[in-house]
Amino acid sequence: MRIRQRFLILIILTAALNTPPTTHGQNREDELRSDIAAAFEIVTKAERGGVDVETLVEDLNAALRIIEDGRATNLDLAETKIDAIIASAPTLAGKIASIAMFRWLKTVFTITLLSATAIIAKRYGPKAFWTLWLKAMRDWTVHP
Amino acid sequence: MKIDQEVTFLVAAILLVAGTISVYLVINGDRVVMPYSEIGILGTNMMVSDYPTEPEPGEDIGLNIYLGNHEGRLMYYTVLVKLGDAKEDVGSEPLDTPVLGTYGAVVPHGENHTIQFQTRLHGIAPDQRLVFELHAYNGETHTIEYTGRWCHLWFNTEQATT
Repeated sequence: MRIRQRFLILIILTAALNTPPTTHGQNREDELRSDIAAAFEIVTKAERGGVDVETLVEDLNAALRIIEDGRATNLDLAETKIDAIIASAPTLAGKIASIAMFRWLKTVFTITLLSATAIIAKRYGPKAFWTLWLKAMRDWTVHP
Repeated sequence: MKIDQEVTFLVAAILLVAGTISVYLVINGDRVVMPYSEIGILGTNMMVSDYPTEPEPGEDIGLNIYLGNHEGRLMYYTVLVKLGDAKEDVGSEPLDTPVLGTYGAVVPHGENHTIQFQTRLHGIAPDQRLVFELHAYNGETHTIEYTGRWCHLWFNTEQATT
């Protein structure tokens, strides 16, 4: 009798421990929304760095639609999409660095070009301007 | 063909002014002077007119949430759909009523996004309303904060039952 009681208690305890709480789905959704925020920060950083993030934004929105749909079976798909974005962070960082280097070179080139133009304009500008001005006004007469 | 020297001088002056203005516009073209976000409600046919304003209690109401981003950066919006009536005031603080649904969207600058959603109103009242509050993710505090922007749609479920 005592053994049977103990066995029953053991079964009830095991069942209670294995039964997911009623808020399990909600907790999972909250976790995924938190992950989306983390993924969004990665995408924002990439966008500021000049990376084309259109596909990443589409994936984030697709994940949000899946979460809002509320079907627990599809939440794994949402998690896969979010995890893929989070996992792409090092690749995005590499792209940001390449774009930053290209921008730096472009800035250096622009500054060099502008400086060269300024030096040429300073050296030859006044002469060219006044030559043009004299030619433009050569037919003019001065009346006393 | 001989071009008049005076005309040449004038053209050179115009080109100089136009060039200066172009450089200014290229440098400042992407700057957002007044950043803002948009929220709106569209009917089932994506129009600002075909709203089901007198639904039967328990009847499916299909609507679309419209979001527009003019903040000058990528935005992560969350819209909380809440049930209210004429008693509650909506304003700078979020409404303290039950949340019927939470909808999110990531919207790039200069673009808009629509989210389809369905809900049901079970109560019978002449002045029920769905309030749509716009919240946005703040990258500095790492939290979703209320933007103070909202819109609502009134429903009269009493009319349908009489």
